[in-house]
Amino acid sequence: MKRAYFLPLLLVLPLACNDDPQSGGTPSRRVMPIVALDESVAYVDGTSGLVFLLNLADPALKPRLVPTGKSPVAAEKRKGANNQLLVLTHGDPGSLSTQSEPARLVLIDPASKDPVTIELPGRYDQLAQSDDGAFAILHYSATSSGAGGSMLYNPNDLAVVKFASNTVKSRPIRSLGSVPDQVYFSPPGSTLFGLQRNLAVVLAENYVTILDLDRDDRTEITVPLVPDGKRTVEPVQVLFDMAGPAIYIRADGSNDIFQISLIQGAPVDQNASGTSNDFHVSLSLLGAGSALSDMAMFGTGDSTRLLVTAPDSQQIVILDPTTGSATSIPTGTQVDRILLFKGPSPKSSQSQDRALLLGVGTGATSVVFADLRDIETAQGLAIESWSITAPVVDITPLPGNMALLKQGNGSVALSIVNLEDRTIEPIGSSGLLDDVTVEATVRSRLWGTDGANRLEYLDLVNNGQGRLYSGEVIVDRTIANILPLAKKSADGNRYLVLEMLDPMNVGYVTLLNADLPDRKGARSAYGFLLTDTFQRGQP
Amino acid sequence: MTTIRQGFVILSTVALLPALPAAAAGPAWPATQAVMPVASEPELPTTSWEPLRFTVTAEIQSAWMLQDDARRLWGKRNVGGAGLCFSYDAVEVSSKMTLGLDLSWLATAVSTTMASTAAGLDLPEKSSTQVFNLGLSLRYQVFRWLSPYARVAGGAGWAALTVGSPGFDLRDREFLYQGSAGAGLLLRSPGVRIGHSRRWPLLALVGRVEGGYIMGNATNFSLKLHSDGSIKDPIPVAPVSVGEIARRFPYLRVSIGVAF
Repeated sequence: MKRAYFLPLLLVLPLACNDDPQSGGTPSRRVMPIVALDESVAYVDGTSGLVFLLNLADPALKPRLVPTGKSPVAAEKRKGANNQLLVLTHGDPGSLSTQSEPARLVLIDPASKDPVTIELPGRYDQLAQSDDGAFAILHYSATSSGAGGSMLYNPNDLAVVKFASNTVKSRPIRSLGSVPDQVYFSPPGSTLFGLQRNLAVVLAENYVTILDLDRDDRTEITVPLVPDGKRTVEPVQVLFDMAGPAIYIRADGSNDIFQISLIQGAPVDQNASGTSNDFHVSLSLLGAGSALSDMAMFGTGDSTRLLVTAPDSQQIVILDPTTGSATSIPTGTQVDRILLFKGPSPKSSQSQDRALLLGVGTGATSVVFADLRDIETAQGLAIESWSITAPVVDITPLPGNMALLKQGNGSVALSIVNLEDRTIEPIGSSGLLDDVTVEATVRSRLWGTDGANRLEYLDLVNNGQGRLYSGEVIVDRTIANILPLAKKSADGNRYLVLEMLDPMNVGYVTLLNADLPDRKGARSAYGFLLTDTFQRGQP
Repeated sequence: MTTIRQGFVILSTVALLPALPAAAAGPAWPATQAVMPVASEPELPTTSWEPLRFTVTAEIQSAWMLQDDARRLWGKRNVGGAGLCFSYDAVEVSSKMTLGLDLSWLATAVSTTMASTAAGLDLPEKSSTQVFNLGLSLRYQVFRWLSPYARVAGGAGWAALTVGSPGFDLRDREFLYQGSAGAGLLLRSPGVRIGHSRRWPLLALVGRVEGGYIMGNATNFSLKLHSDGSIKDPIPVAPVSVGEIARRFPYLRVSIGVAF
């Protein structure tokens, strides 16, 4: 009798023991912004620690999955002529149930099978690269929360990575109460006192630190910008004059430009030991007015000058670093941005240093051209003001001494500035223009969307169909991001990658031929971030 | 009045089913047993243990996903399905052994979520299968009400997977084929003739409990953005392979129905 009653229990039992492996807080995926390499694109999945590398020449568009390690925090293309993806990971500090994993910097080359992995001495969250991609400096941000799980860490510990040898060296720097904010690198190929030298300048509140990247064993040079500590300055811009040799620093909260002269010879307070630098520094202040917003360097040798904008006083200041003299020249409008160029002008066919000065975000409705040679003597005669229809919100330099002005006064308006002719050519655009991407390197072409599925383009130079030739392509869904790639893929096409609106966050791109965009040749990939998802063990 | 009586007889028979083991321990039941003596009417309705060749059952199946990939697909370890089965006792091998054929249909559908979005949203996922099986079973009658059996079956069907929300959903359907081997117990009640005439069939309650193992082809979904047809000439979209998912799992099948 009891055995008979047992039978219905069999019906219920399987349904009762439902141990759902996905219940109980499976972490949601963090996908980092798309990274465009030369002829491919990469997505980094922060949850799975995988890079999805899309080879656009592959008709199936099946991504290559490259593991990077746990908790990627930054991903970007390696600078210079390097077609590599850099991924910085936090690793895992470990727990009773999980094994610890070191932080890593991973170099992924689409052309090579295995990535290069560099284990890091700290769980950094900031990545700065030199312009040639030869060096990287990893550091902590001021807001780094626990450095990826470490309760105690030195926020002034840096790691210098040399990609020539794929080695890393910890370089903790002295702190005067702050943590590194930005890192600037000297221009590639610079020489100092006859030797090739790569310097890094680490900016922190109230002081900067100079590192000799070629010599790991040499101590850093710390330069307090406010020796008395009675005020706060935030260094924000660095210019290197390696011929001078000097480093110029502009800082918010300071009316001066900081000139750090590099002087040959070890510091007098250091023994000429192996760890001492072969140069020392001297700090000078170059008075330049108030609320300095930008600076640029022109001229060479003794005629090296600094051009500084002081928008509040509607003037520019020319600084002679040798003598410390300053020449103020009224501009008649608030200019806060400098675009240097070398070329002729309508008045002179001589190619020389000139500048376009404009207010980006000041609401100024005019731009200023300045002839920089002899500007200290010519003063007001060296500048020329031009009216524009709407305030400038952004400027993009273009090849051939041209620049694209993005103007905004409610709606987006575009103008092309010919820096040599000093002409400002408006580009017709409807009020629907939502986003603009300028491809300056390969074709000098302007790409724009209407915030929906319409892609428009305009040739800023003659690409074979005439200058200012325009066209449009309608794609199936809303365009979120436009990425023209730099090089041709293996199939001979140079691709324009349209990152599409993807509310599911599973990866959605549409590919067009960047040189001859046409809907007929377009193809898409959707959901590729789910590739092999059931086999990978995590979504 | 007659109809009320017949209903009483059937209910009585069903109520007796749990007590069958106790009854079986005693003397064998007569092949035909008068339930209510009615002097002036035919000996109907009656119950009978005579063999019934056809069976129609509704069934539920529970499958245990042992492989990780299958668990990820279904979002759970245990997946339930439901279906119908039609059986036919084709050959009486001996007085106690019968070879049967069956045709069954089983549907499984699970809605779950795949945690995969940056915004913390979960990705809706719907998985389903529809499988038609042809089975062959060999049954041995221990008691008239209890027959253990062994069964092999093979079948085909399809599996469907949908990931995402409408408008941005990925879909695919995969062909399935599978084979299974299992063993179980069949229980039946005495047949009841519900009409007055012998031309009315005998009906009996039947229950089955069967456990076994299913092996089928692995599925490899190639999910593709679903188009609702609103775009006349859509840009071709490359499908995405979500990985091969094994189809090997033990199952427990429970069914109940009628034999006639």
